[in-house]
Amino acid sequence: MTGGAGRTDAELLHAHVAGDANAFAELFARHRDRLWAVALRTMGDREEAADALQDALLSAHRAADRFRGDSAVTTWLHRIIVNACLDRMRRRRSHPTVPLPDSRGNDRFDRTGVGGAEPAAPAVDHDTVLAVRQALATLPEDQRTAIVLVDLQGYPVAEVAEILQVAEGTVKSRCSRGRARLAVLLGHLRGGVAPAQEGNRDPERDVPSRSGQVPEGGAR
Amino acid sequence: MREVDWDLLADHLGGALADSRTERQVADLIATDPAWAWAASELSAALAAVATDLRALPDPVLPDDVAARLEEALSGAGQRRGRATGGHLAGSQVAAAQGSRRASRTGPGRKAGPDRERGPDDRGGSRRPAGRPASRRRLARWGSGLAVAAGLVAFAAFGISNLGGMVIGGDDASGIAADRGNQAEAAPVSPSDSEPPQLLASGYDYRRGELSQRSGSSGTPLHAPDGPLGQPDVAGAPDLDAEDGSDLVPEALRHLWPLPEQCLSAVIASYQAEAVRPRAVDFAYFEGQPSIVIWVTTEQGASWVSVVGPGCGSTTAGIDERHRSQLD
Repeated sequence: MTGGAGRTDAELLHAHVAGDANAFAELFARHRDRLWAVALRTMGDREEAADALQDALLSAHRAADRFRGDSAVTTWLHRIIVNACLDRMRRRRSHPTVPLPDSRGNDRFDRTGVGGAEPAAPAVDHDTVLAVRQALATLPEDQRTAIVLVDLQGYPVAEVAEILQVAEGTVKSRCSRGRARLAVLLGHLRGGVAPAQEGNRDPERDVPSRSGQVPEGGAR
Repeated sequence: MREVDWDLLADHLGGALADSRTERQVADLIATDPAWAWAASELSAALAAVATDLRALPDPVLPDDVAARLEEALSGAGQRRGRATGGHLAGSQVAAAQGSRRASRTGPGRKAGPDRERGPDDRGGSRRPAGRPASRRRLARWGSGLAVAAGLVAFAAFGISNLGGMVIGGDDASGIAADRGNQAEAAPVSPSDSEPPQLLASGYDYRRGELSQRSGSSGTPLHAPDGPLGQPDVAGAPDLDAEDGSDLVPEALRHLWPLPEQCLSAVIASYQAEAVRPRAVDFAYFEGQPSIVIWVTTEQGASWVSVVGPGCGSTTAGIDERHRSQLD
């Protein structure tokens, strides 16, 4: 995609490495909403997303000279953002990750108080949006990042596999299992016959008769 | 009857099992076991409902205030880059220790195989004179432009004079750091203080108990006969320049390679002591996790080691410390 200046993403990145003071900002401006969406949807919290995105951009800014060009620049940027989010999530292990509603019943996802809808957007079912965000926030990180990238951002599985640096089958498995867990949380599967909250494949209790050919080698 | 495995069903419906034996087993179960057939139908409908729910989420747009904050952070980064000493990687070399404990680890950061096949001859001759002592093979330098003197003086070279904006775990810490930075400008730098810290990408997996053992007379890997903590010597290890060394750096740490200036200054400041000098920095692992291991000495002669994670030096994360111990 070329903007007014006509430079490709790769050209902008190389210009940045070569010392062009504006190139990186131009590159970011080109993709900023997407990159913000990944951070926000992954972290579930506006402030944490801003922190993670800043971490990622500063890291990319410094590390641009190590971009080898064997993937698209956007793939590389997304990878850095996902890693920055994962780093932050792992560091806040001891703190709750569920975005609880504030006193007005809105989650900390945004500050508009309208469930994230832009003023001109069609009416949004606020309850569903809140429920989905809360459910997403309780997923294991690997499933959440896969669902954010595939289902919410709409990236192809192959590209997500590159971003996450895992096999395509692993991406599909994380998405499928994550969606199944969301189905339970959102009430689409009846209780008693649904997957357990923790997944019903406990590696410690694995029965020898099972094939064991699970794409990721165990439940999360 | 085999109990319904919902995770496997989800994998099946999501196409994750493609063509495997497991896929055929699941397909058979759905075809022959009423419980599985019912569960598949239920899950399929439920997944469709989830897809509808996910589509209900509106697309976020970068808010103006966040955009402004990021712009400011990037322009700060740009200014620091402009002031960094040019060619600071010139002459730097990274020696890679082939620690035996790392032998079985694989992963994106471990491209040890192909790179290690290359010997000095591939570079048109050895970079090192024959007979260079083995212990010096693991010496790495960031180059004279990065000479690290007492405390935070070193970082003045990178234009990091304003530390007030860096959160190091509290206002007190950043205040101290800023004061030290201001004072340091006037402090003379003695020749013995100008030795830059050793830079390693050893791939070693440090363990908690090891890190309180003094490894050399000065408590740093510099004087250890073998590796930093006694891992086997690496006679014959090729010298790699910083560019190649990055392949040996764990993926999660690459954004900090080779000079984690904000991280190092934050770690030094966190000691809240005088004249803390980094002596060695190893981009490696701690208890299995990609971590940077930093050895420091204080003016009083005490030696400490800090272990930090990938978040070290980011604005609000501080130093992302995982371990700290004093060497006895």
